[in-house]
Amino acid sequence: MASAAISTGILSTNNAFAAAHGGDIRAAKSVDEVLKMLGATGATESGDIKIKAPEIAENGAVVPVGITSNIAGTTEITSITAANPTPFAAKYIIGESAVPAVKSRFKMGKTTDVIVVVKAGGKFYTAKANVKVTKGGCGG
Amino acid sequence: MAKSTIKLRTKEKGGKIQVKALITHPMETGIRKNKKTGKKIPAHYITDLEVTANGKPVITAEWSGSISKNPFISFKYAGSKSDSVTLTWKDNTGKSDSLTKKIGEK
Amino acid sequence: MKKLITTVALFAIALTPIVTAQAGPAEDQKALKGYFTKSLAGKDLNDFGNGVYALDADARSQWEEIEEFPPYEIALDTGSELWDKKFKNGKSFESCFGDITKVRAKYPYHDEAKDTIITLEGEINKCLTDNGEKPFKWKKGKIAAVSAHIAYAGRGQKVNVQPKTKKALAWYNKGKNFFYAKRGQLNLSCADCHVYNAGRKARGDLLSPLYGHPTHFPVFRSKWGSLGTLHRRYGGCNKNVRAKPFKAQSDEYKALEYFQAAMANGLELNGPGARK
Repeated sequence: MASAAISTGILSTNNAFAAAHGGDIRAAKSVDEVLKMLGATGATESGDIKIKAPEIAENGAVVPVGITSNIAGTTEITSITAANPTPFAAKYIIGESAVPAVKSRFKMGKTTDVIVVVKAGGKFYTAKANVKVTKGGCGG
Repeated sequence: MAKSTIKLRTKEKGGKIQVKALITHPMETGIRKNKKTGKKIPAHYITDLEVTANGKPVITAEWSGSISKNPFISFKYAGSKSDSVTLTWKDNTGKSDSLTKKIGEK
Repeated sequence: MKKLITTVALFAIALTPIVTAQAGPAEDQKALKGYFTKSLAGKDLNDFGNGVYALDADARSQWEEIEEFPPYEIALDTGSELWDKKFKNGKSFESCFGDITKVRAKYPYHDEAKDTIITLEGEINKCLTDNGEKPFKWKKGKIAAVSAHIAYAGRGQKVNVQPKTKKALAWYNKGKNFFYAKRGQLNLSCADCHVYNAGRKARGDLLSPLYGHPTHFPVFRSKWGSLGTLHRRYGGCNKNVRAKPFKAQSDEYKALEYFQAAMANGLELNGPGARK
């Protein structure tokens, strides 16, 4: 269930996010720091998290990624772009009626692991996929 | 009337509502430099996004500058054809926008 | 940063398996399709309007995801507003063009009387200036938005560019020569990448085939983060081989567009497109 601070409407949650993570997770500079702030250090690897991402990104500025959690009781899905200067990319809080699957488009500065952390039943699970990002040759 | 930054599409199928949105927003990370002046282009990205159905939160997102420019989101929730869906976003400069659509409404 | 760009273009039209010096557009297209049938065996030529996405599954998958809600939709809204907006004299684009669904397939064409190639973007700006309005800039922004709106309304129509008169064929050959001529510091012709090495990679980029090249324009490129016209793309390509680009709507680029359209004759128009 969405945390109480957020369900009052995002327009009023100025520091709820920062408070929830003990500081702005967006400023965290390492994957370990992001995981720590999520409370997800030591998350269990799970094959029930599906990441649909390209092998080789056509353009690192717009990489379509689809994440599906087949773990029962999923309440949160977080995506971390390991090689970005600030790896935290997005966190989705899954409401009761929502299907725990979401598609978005990410910026990837270079070849990177996309690390997904799922919170389900109060526990944390993780999976990752690697996306190659090349510099274009004759893009123009 | 100010044009909405939000394009919202919803479709009902088998008891599930498919929600897709495309938002006009620069999503500046704050890392890029203006090539001519050498100065950093200030960070300007959506930090919070919420979708509600009939007023109840369905999905809430916390985004960073690592989300692409003109961001896209797609997901499904269990709902009905008579639902009213609202998408609201807020960015780091305090700007925000909101759009409400009935299911299937263009 | 100093840019080294030269203006040298060496003409070297060798007799190749693809074209002969005397063949006309229909024969050239047949030979081109025959070439790709061999060099890109197993690929569906009817899908070549989608460029590299007809060739590579990983790239296609990303493109399909983008097409689920493509970024050019934002520009389409702008284009639609501009199309509907009345000029100061009360007229609008519809007064010049008529039924929007029939517009895209008309271009480019050869005007026998003026002996020039008429392009869609050219006509958009002519409509503006004929009605006392300021013309748009040629490569991006409003002109691309209006072009996209027209392209979208014309989706599914077939390319119908068949140079027949002596003058039209002269323009066709001008474009064909441009395409097959070496240029720039890298001394590459358009054909070097888009015929002889189509389907192969130039560093990280898959090279698209000439057949079907122009059908999806104007194009939203992730690299640009915006919509751009065909001539915008031509300029970028020329710069990539370190050749001085020609101006948008110059005779060189109009001839090239005419040639490319003739090579796509019969294919479906599918603009605006989304590319990397």
